[in-house]
Amino acid sequence: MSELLAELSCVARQSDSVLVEAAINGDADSFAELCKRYYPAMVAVAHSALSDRHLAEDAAQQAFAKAAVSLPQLRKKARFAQWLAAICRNAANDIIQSRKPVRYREQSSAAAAERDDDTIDCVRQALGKLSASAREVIFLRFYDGLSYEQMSAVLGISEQAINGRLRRAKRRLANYLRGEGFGRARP
Amino acid sequence: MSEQENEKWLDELIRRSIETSKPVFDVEQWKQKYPDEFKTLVQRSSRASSRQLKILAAVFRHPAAKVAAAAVIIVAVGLLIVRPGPDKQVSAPTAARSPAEMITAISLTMAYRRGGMEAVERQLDRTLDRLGPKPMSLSLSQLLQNSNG
Repeated sequence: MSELLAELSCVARQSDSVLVEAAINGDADSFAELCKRYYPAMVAVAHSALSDRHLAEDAAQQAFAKAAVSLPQLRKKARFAQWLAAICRNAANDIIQSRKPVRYREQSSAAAAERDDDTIDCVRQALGKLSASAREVIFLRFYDGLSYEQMSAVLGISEQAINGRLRRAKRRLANYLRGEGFGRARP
Repeated sequence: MSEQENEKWLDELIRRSIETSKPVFDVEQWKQKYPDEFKTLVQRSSRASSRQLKILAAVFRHPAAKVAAAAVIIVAVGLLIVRPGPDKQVSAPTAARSPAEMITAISLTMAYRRGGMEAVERQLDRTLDRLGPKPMSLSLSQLLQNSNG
């Protein structure tokens, strides 16, 4: 049992490149570790596009399935997260195209339905007005509190660029919400 | 309003508006949901090992590879035969064991250059006189010194 735990912790400490190489050679544990490592980020990426948590989880799992098959085609193993995010965006787009067009708002969460007051509705509308890349960076930052370094790996841009993108996105959100009367009397 | 104040109320609103609890990946569920993809992933491990064997087999299928392998074996066997065994030691230079060995080609050549055949004969006589009955006690350098005058 202790040997198994030691082996698992050893796999968890490996870099993406090492895990990808092992997964290419058919190591299921390495692939599972990659999935665990990037699942929250992929769900965040898909959620920013789909506006639905459950569909976002489906898209992320679908992305892992596609990655499992086409992993040998990945040339730069260090860019696994970026490559996976691209697959995840495509999976989310496929889901969007396969269903009726919807406005950007949370759909199925019972918890969200309970909280669905004016404020939340207004913030979701504001999020919907952002560009896809700006919305993505907001979701990644707020989802699991991902570090700039992790976000950089997923988005394939520098930490400075992420900082700039996040600031601009939040400024746009703040401007919109202030126009709706938020941020003054209701901090 | 400062940007820091902006961050506080905005961050709070964003957190309230999107469901940001950390999703957890269930490996077993994923395997059941995508069995074909998982099978493709795992099958690569057996493919990777068999690929190495196939490469070796492909190499040895080629006639040139067979000739090269045969050449390598012949050269290796040849080296084993020619190479002296570990018990065969190279003898270190020592003083000559007999008067005949003492008259080296070098000393004789040098004597011939100095005075022809007469000088060689003189060299031989002198050497035999000086060596006496104990040739083993004479070192090589002493012998050469005497021989070369």
